[in-house]
Amino acid sequence: MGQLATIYKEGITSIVVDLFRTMMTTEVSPVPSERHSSHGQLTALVAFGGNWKGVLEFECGSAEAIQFARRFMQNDEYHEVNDDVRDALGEFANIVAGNLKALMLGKMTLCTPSVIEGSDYSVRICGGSIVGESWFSTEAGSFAIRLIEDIGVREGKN
Amino acid sequence: MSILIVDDSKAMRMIVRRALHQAGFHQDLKEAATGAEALEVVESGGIELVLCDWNMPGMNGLELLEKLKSLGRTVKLGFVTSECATDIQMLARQSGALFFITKPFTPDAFLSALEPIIGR
Repeated sequence: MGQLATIYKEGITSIVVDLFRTMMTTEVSPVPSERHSSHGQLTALVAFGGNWKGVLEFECGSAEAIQFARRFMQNDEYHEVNDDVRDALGEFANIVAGNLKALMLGKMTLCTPSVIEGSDYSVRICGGSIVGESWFSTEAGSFAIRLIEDIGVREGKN
Repeated sequence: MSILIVDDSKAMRMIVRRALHQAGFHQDLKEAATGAEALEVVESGGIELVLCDWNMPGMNGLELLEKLKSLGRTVKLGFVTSECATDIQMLARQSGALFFITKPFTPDAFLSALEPIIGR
């Protein structure tokens, strides 16, 4: 396992648990990826630049996104995915990426989040290699986190 | 005290506003989604404290702080951000930021960090 994968593996659970516990008063547990087979309907992405290039993904279904946004903003009036729900999901990815970045070596910058919404899609980062993938379960639903390294950029294959 | 919340995330602006409400601030709270908007609000006068995100499209939080200094604005500014790296925090302090609150935070931790500034 590479150094980055080790950092990811050792840090991601505490970061995610802390995010959900402190800002959503929700407990989170890591679960095996094989418990989930379908692709999420929303994916928030935060890109890393600088000494390490890659992307952090936060992926979940639309029903879970609504539940997470309700808890995050303490507002039960969200019944469908709207700008506020997408914004909240982007902020989750931003917080996880920011905390993970603090554990990684080298000077890096973070981009502002982007959110993809749809059905039956997959996200492919050109030249990307998955450093780590984690699934988590909460009483409001499950979600996935992925850290993807842009190998093409690192090796100058652009 | 008039407070300006600067964050490109509406969700985070809502959360910060709620935390301030819990501390008894129900008035004099303004919001801006970008550094440029924040400059306009500060220029319009009356703002005493800016709670600012670090990463924002266009002008980032540090650039906003430097811009305010270059304009001679004496407004107090602190960061509320997911950037947790110590070098970023040092840079913020060296640039004159009064505090650095990292996300995620509990409302209590948020208010504890602000107490010396807002005096509650």
